[in-house]
Amino acid sequence: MGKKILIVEDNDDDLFIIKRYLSGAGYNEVVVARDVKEGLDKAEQEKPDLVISDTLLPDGNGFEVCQRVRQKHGAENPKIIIMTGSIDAVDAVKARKMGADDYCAKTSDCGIIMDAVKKLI
Amino acid sequence: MEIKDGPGEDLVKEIESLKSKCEKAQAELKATKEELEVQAWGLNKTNEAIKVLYKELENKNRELKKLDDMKNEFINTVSHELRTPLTTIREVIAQFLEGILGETTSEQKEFLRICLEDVDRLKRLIDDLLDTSKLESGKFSLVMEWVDIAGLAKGVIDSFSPRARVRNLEIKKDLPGIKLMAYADRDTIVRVFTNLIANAFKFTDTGHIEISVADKPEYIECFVSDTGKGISEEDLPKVFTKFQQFGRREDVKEKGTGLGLSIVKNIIDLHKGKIWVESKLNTGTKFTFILPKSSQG
Amino acid sequence: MAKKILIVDDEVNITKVLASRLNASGYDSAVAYDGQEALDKVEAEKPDLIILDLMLPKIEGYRVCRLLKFDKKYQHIPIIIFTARAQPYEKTMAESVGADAYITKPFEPDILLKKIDELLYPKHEG
Repeated sequence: MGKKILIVEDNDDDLFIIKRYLSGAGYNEVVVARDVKEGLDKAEQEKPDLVISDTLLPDGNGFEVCQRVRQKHGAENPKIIIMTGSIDAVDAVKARKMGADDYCAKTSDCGIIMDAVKKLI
Repeated sequence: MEIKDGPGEDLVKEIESLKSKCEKAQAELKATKEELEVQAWGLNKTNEAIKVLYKELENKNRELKKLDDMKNEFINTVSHELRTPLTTIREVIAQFLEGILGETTSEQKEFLRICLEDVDRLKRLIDDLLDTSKLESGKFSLVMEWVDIAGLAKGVIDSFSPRARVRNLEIKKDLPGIKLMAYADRDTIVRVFTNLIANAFKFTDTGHIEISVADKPEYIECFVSDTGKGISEEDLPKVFTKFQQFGRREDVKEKGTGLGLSIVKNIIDLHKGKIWVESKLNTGTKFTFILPKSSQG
Repeated sequence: MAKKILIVDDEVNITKVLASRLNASGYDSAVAYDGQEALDKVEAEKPDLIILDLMLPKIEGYRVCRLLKFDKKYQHIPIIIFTARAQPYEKTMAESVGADAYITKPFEPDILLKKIDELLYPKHEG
């Protein structure tokens, strides 16, 4: 695959699940950040092809991550997916406006997220 | 060609103004269209997610129900397997005590009685476990018939007398001399008395346990009271909750499953009766319940 | 003359304990451990009452009951059916094969004794 993915997630269980499904689908280059600051730093340093960010983070939210990454790196790359445990149409619109490529609900089999990943990279 | 002054100029100005209004409107329309597209995208995403999540929920529910059924089936089977040898054991001990299997000294009889008490305790624990599972799975069905409640109570009280003698507790019986009939499920009412009296024994060190069955116009009123440790005000509301146990661990010798009272309440509820408790710390506790006399009650 | 009760159950422990209790209560007892032996013993011992477990080797309990109840020679003998599970349909089945009473295991000895007494000495309501 060769694509690098940055995950910004602070919940251990959710992180474990998404990592497992990503590696299962062959995405082995995975970098992890646990909050907004680390997320932005790693996006800069690691230059991932895709950023998957949770909405709720200890020092902010995924929309911030998305907005700042777009500001710094442009509208095309990296691809950005915002994932959430509580799906909301208002948040979906916000995610889109901030420049996210997709907004995905977290499910126990990561089905929606994996479909989005495969479509984007 | 320049058009200056006169009606021509006004017309041009008019056209310019309309043109800019039109452009503005078009821009607004475009913005609204884009906004609507984003909104539609958001709603669509949410919609798709809801469909997936709903299916996930259905599957989880199905799995849970299966697990619940398995649990109940398991408890049913195990309880039954446990009960069967227990009956044989109990019967053998009872026969020894009655002299059917030969002579036994009074000292031997004492130890046999200890066995009997523990067998009965085991049986009660298993019955509680089994009944809770049945009650939860909704498989509990009452076998209703006309029962002499006073007679039932007396039977249960008599079975506790040896224990009362050993513990030096007085059992006060407040039963009418005659039959008091109610339309009820015999076995479960026996359970109610058994569990309440066993509880009274558990929490009373000295004094007495009183059991009363009284005739009221529409119902039969019974109570089991004791002069035991009592229940604190904050614990009182939780008394009938499953798995609740009170009392400091060191004090209570018999641990039990914490199911006894919730089963009692379930049984009384199924009979369309009522049960309540009054208690005072270090003074005593009184459980009162009423049973409608007939199914029209 | 003491009434004779035939106990049919494949579990030896239960038959021993039950026989002991019945003897102490003034009854004679005989034992059979499977359905075929049950039928043989009914012929040989001519019991006054039969306690019949359902789970039996060779010929199962319901069938034994039906056979006896359809036989003019033995249909008068009261039969108490013993069963391990308290399913409502089992009660209906018991009635349909002509059993006179139905007791679930594990049984309460005094309830069993009471039923035996009722069946052997029916009180006629006058």
